[in-house]
Amino acid sequence: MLMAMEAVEFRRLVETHQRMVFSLALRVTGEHGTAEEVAQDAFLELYRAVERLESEDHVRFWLRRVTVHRATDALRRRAVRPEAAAEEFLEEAHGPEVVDGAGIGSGMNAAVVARLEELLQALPEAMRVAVVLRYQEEMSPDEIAKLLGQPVATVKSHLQRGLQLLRRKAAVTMKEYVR
Amino acid sequence: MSEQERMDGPELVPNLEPDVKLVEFELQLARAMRRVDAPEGFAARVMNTAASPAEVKQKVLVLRPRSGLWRLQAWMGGALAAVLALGMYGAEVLHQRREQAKADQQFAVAMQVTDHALAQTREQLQRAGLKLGE
Repeated sequence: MLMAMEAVEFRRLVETHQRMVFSLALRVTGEHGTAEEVAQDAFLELYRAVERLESEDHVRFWLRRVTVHRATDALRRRAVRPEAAAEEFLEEAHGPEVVDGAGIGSGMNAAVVARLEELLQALPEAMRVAVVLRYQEEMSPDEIAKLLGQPVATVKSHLQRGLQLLRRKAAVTMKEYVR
Repeated sequence: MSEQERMDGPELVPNLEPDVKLVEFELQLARAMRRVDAPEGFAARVMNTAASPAEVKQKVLVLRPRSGLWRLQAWMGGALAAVLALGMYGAEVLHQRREQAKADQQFAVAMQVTDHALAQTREQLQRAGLKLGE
């Protein structure tokens, strides 16, 4: 069984990082159930490895990397159809209400957010991962490159192409929102 | 139209505008891609799984790489024993060779003594008018 102190510390880590881990897993896999499994796996791996991690930043870096890897593994195993997954994302993650825009500026319609998520799911895996890390986690290309073990130029290329693809698709399907 | 262009759809934005529009789109995307909440009870489920006997066992198993030092020590112990056994065997062989050399030397000395004795005996017999072997 978990030792008392170990359990308290581990619970704190789970509660601190669960939104980050689950959101990353959900946006990479596009499927709610798979995302929860991936997030659980990431935390269980953290539980086994936590003694080797030196700081809160190290834990965050480690969790992001493990989550992305587990999520892409799950994606490959499942050979998911992006359209179906995005539909599920729309229903489960957002629902019909308007997304709160507090602290960000204007609120965004949940349908717009869901449509952007759907477009995200249609991106090739490498571009999607880079875009999620950039815009959800607000990481710089250098940080993403370090996390993924890729050259910075590759990450920048994935980001640029991913963003262009998304914008072009959004311009066609969401004309009223994308200027 | 190339495969990439077909996938991307039509280029709707004039050449000078994309950067501005892209930045605007980036802002919209960043707003849309905020983190979402984990499912209800997620942390509790993780804690339960982590506390399960199977997971604890796996944690112990996962710690095995740390016992690599132990495996290295065991391996080194085996190697040391093998070296010692080889050394003892080598020493034994060396000892036997020395004994053999010593025996050979003693035999050679004995032969020399015998040869010398025979030569003296032959001389004495010659002096007495007899020849050995006749």
